Amino acid sequence: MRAQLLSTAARLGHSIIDLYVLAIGRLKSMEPRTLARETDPEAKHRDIGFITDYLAELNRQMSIPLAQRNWGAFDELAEIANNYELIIDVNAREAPTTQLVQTARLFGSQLRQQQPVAGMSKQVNLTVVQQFRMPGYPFVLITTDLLQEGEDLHTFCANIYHYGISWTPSSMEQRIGRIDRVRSLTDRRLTVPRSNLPQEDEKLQVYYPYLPDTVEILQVNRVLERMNHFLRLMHEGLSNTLKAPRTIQVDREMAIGRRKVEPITETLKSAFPIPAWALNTPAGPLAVDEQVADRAIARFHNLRHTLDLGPRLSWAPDGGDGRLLGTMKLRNGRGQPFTLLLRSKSNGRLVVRCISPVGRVEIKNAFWEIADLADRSSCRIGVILTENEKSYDLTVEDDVLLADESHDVERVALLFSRILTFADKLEREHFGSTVDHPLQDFEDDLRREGIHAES
Amino acid sequence: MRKVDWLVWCRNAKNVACRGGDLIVRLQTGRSQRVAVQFTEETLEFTSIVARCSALNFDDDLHMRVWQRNRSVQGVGFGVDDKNRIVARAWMPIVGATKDEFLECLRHLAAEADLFEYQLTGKDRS
Repeated sequence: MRAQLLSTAARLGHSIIDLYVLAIGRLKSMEPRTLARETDPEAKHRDIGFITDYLAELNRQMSIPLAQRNWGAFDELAEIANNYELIIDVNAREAPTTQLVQTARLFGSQLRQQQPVAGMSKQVNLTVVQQFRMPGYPFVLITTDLLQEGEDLHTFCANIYHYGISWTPSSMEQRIGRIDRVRSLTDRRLTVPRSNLPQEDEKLQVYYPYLPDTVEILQVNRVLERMNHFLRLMHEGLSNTLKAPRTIQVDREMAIGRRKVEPITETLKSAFPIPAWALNTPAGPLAVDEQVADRAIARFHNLRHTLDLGPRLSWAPDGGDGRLLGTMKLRNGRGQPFTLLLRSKSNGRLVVRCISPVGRVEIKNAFWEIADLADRSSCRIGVILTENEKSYDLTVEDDVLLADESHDVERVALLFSRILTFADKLEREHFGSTVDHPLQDFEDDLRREGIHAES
Repeated sequence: MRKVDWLVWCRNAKNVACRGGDLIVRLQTGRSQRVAVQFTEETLEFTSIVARCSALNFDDDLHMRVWQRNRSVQGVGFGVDDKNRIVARAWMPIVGATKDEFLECLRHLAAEADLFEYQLTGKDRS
C-alpha cells in the first residue's frame, strides 16, 4: 500500500513536472510530438534514457540540502515516505481495510488535478482538503470561514494568515486550531530530540495582516486583547481584570491612539495542576523483565548443546544475540546452511524461526521453475525483492512454537526436517548438483536477518 | 495422541465449530474461515483455502506476493496448491502439544488466511 501511495504521488504530483522538464531538456524542444516526428530510428528508444535521467535527478535532489536548491519531486516523495502512517490516518483511514488492488484508485482520486494554489468557498472541496494534507500541491489554501472548523489541515502546514478576523477569540482559536494540533508539522519539528532552541520560523506562525490607516487596526487590537484575555481565562493565578466591550467607539479608540498588543510570552499555570503524587508514581513491573529475557535467550542458545544430531550438524561461532547459524549435512552428502532466530508472540510464548537460503537465483528469470517445485510441496518459500545486492534472494523458512522446555530439541529437529531438504532440492534444481553453497557464502546476510527492512 | 483428542479440544472452544470434518473458526471481525486439520506421524497440519487463483487477476505476480508475504508473517505460510488455490498452512508438533497451543495455532491460521483473503478478494468465502 505504501508503494501504491508513492507511485500515485510520483504519477500525479510534482514528479511529473520534474520529468517533463527533463524531457524538454533532452528533446531541446517544447513542440508537441517532437519525438514522433524524428526520422532517426534510434530516437524512438531515447525515452528509455528518461528513466535513468529521472533517477539521477532524484539522487541529485537527495544529495543537496533543500536550502540550496528548489523544492522538487524527491522532497514530496520523501515526506510521504517519512509520514506514511500519518497520511493514511488523516486521509485514507479506509485504505488498510480496502482490497489492495483498489487502493491505487483511492489514492489516484485523492491526488488528481493538483494545483499550486487552491481555494474554496460555500462548499468544502474534499479533494483539495485531502491534497493540502499531503506534501506537495497545493502549497497555499485560500478559504473563507468554511474551513473554520471540522477539517484538519495541520499535517504539512505551519503558517496561517487571517485576512479578515473573527470577532470572538474562540473562533480565532478554531481557525488556528486547524493547523495547531498534535502530530502537526510544527509538533513534529519541535518534538524531535535536539540540542538547540527552535528558531522562529520553525514554530507555528500566525499572521494578522491589516490595513494600518483604517478602522481595521482597531478591530485587530480589540481581538488580540480578547484572545489574550481568553487564554488567561483558561488558566489560574493570572489576573483577569481586562474589560473587553462588545463594541468599538471609533472616536475614543482613535483618541487613545495606536497600541501594540503583546502576545502572552510568560509560562501559564494550569488550572488543573498535576498532583505531586502522580508525578512520583514508581514504575510498574515490565511485562518481560530482563531475567525472563535472559532465560529465554539462554534456553535458545542451549540448543547448540542439546540438539544431538551427531556430526551432521555443525554450528558457526555463537554471538549470543538470539540467533544461531550452522550447516546441516543431509543424507545425500550435501550441506545446507541455515539460521535459527528466537522470536516471541504477544502472549509471551517463544517461537523459533529457521531460514535456509537457496542462493541468488534471480527469481524473475527462474520464476516458473521455482513455482513448479513450490506448488508441488507444502514448504514455505520466501523471496527477497530488493535493489540491494544480497547473497541470496530465495529462501525456505518456517517457524515452530516452543512448548515445555523438555521438548525443545524434538520440536526444532522437526523444524529442520521441514525446511533443509527442500531448500537443498531447490538449490540442486536451479544451480545443478555440482553447486553446494557453503554457509560462508551467506553468512553476512544471514546475520542481518530480522534486523533490517529489506525494501 | 489420537485424532479424537483435537476434536475433544474443539468441543467447547469459543467460536470454533466442527462441520463436515473441517473446523469453522469465527473471527472477531464477524468473518469466518474453514480450516482442515490432518495428522501426520509427528505433526498436526492445518490448511485453509485463501482464494482461487482463477478468481484473481495476478498471474505470476501472485506467486511473488505469496512468497514475499511468507518472509514477514509468523506461524503461518502461504503457497499455491496443485488445484491452483492460494492456501495458508500451519503446523504444530504432536510432542508436547496442548489444547491451548492447538487452539492458538488454529485461530492464528484462520485470522491470517482471512486477512489475506480479504486483501485479495474483499470477500469471505469460508
